[in-house]
Amino acid sequence: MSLDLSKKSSPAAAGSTARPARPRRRRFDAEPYALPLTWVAVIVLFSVLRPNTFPTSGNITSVLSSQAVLLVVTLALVIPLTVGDLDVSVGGVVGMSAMITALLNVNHGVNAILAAVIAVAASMLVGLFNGLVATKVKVDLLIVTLGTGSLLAGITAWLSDQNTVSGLSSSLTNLVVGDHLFGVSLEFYYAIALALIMFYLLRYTPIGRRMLIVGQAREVAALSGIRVSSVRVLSLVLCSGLAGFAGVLYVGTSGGASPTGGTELLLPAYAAAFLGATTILPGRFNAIGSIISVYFLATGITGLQLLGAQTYVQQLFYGAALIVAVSVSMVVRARRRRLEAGEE
Amino acid sequence: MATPAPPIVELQGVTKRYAGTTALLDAGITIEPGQIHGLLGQNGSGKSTLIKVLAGVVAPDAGTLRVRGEAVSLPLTPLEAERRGFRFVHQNLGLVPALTVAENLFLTGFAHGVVKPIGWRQLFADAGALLAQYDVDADPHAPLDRLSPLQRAQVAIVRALAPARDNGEKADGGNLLVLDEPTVYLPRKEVASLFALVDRVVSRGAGVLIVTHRMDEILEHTHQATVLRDARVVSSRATGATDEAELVKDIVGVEWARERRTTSSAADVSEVDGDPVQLAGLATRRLHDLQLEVCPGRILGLTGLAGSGYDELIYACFGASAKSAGRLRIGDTELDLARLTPRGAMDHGICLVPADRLRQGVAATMTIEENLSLPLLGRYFSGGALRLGRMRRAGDGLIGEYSIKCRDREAEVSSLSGGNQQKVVIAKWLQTRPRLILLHEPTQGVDVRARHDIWTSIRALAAAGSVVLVASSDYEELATLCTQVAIVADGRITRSMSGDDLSIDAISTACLLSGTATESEQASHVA
Repeated sequence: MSLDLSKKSSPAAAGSTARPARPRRRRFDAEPYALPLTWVAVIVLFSVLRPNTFPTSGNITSVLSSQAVLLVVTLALVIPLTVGDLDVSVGGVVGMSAMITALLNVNHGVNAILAAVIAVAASMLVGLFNGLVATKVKVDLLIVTLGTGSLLAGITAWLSDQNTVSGLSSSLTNLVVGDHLFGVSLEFYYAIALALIMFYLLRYTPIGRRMLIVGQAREVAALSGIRVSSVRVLSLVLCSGLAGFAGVLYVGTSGGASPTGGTELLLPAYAAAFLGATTILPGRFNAIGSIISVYFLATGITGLQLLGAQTYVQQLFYGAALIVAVSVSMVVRARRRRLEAGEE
Repeated sequence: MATPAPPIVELQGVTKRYAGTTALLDAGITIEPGQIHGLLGQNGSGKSTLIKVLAGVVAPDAGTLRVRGEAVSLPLTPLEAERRGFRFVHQNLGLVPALTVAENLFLTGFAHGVVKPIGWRQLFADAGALLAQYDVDADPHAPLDRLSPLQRAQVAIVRALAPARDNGEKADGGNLLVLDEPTVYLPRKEVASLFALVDRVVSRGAGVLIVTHRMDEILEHTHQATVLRDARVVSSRATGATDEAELVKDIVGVEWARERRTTSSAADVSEVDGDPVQLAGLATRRLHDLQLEVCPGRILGLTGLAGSGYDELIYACFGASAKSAGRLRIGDTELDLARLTPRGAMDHGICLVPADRLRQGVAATMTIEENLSLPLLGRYFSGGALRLGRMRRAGDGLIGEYSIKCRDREAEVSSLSGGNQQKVVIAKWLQTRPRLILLHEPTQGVDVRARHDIWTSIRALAAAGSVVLVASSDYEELATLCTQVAIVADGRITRSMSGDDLSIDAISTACLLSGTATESEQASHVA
């Protein structure tokens, strides 16, 4: 017999009408907008410093489309991070998915779209493996995914015999970079669409709320009837699936797969995910924040390179961003708590 | 015969006041060499303050101390207390499960030690010798988590008495050993073995002060018993010349007449229509074959001495404990507790308010609204999206209904006071109109006002036909909130009281006496 909840609404509703509405002035909180404003400031700064190269449509469209893969990987990470888990195998998944797509299409003549679907499915199996080892055998996910990440890198190199596989069918490359909308390749729009889906998932669905509570208070979640293990496994499957999709974009962008591709995305994706958690919904890993942080970081790096910086500025920038983002969110968290407690 | 040795500890006239309350008033205790001294009293009577004065953790406002006849100025510092040979073993023992017995025994030595190689062979040899000295059967090489609860308690005691290693000073094996409820987590039949170790300790001339709630242990194993009540020492008796009735009267403060044990008392509450909730053959770690039947409208309190397992029932009925068996009948369905999950329990109209609020009750880093809406997410999901507006209105409604003091529904729960956090948990569950409400220490660490608010909400649900089970160690709560209170001992309900029989004193008396339930079994084991 199930609990009859329809009767329940009356006392709550009565409570809200019986009590006069109490409009409370909420202090304006600048924190959610700090990163977008900084981004705008950075854009203005570089536009002034490099008026001939930075604010050009060529540069803008190039930045927008070149970051699509990173944005998808970042979105992939947002899911397990929300659930309170770490997945460091996403780089390996991207590389493996790209290689599977390329090998099936180029060497085995499989239709490129079908090859991409198979690659994403294989990626989801990796997530399932990670999830089952973590929840059934109870191995720490950092360790599990560190292992699978390395395994996948090895498998990718092995499958390709350490060769770059190129010559991907244009049916896929056209869908990723060949076709344009408003001058920007389609991959940018795929990434943005995914971000919007993720926003909806986390904000407007029960599974999104359940993921959040599993991440914030695992025991509370379990005692509230949430199947914690299922939520964790699902999140890892989704994460790897998205990373697999990022791999498809990756191979579609370059027209081929390298035996060591994908691993370079891991740190930038973590930096962007954590930086994204300081904005829009501060303290929460979120999709819109991820878009802003990915493009904020790309803007900074592009601008610095136009000013003459070497390529290693990327590593400096992403590494620093990760540390700064996590530190800022800690400080801000403590401040918010004090405010909320004080304003009672 | 030589002149009698001076007492090991003579503590006199100790007073300690905190803002608003007096923890100790002119209290004192005298512990002789070779004496096992019991310290008794209800929670809040001042026992732990007295121990903390000896440990040098609490500075008393007044009082004098003599150690083996020598005046020692108060307050002590923890270091001084250690130098005087005062050793303490707390309830949780303070051992490291992953380390070996030997490492645990000399843990403090490492902490003090300078950087020098550890002589492992010597360490294990020393540990073996030390254990043998106290006749404790434990392998120095064994990791602590392989040991039985009894062995762990023994290792903790031996560790307390171990001469300090590597700090130059040769402290003797200890003048005074203080044991804070050492038997709570021990199976009853092993209590005697622990006291055998205590006997060996005092045979070396030390004194032992032991805090316990169990009358049988006091009468059987100690020489002297000092009782604290409301911050004062009310008596100090030789246990050979007293009995449990006298001690219980000292502890509770009222006359106690031995009553016959009854299984259940007659119905005396206005009945609400509906089938009773029945529990049959409940078995958990500490409970065995427990039966229970509660009618709608009733609030049944469950209590007992620490370690009796009265709280395990609550979690077993929600499918939240791994090892449980039994059948729970609610409405017209019968649930198998071995296979019940929290999800399944919720589907059958059962809710649980756990005692550990910060780990299991609230998601502290989430907002009030997010906590409140958690059990009803499925209901708020329609047309492909969570109806955030409805969730917000419902949240505001509950905040009003349960008078949760907060900035607004978007405030993090961690910003609320303990009482308001607990109201969030209560409101979160009671809004589902559960048929069976399981509560564990529902007003622990909650201010007086919030406490009454919470009780009122619970009573309202009971009046509307819910069955309520409250596991609590708070006798005032049990006497005020419940229509009936059951005492759990030895894995089952040994006594039940309701109506006029129900009072704080009656509950605490019954709890104290429940410790003697297996006196005969105990005695035979000793013999």
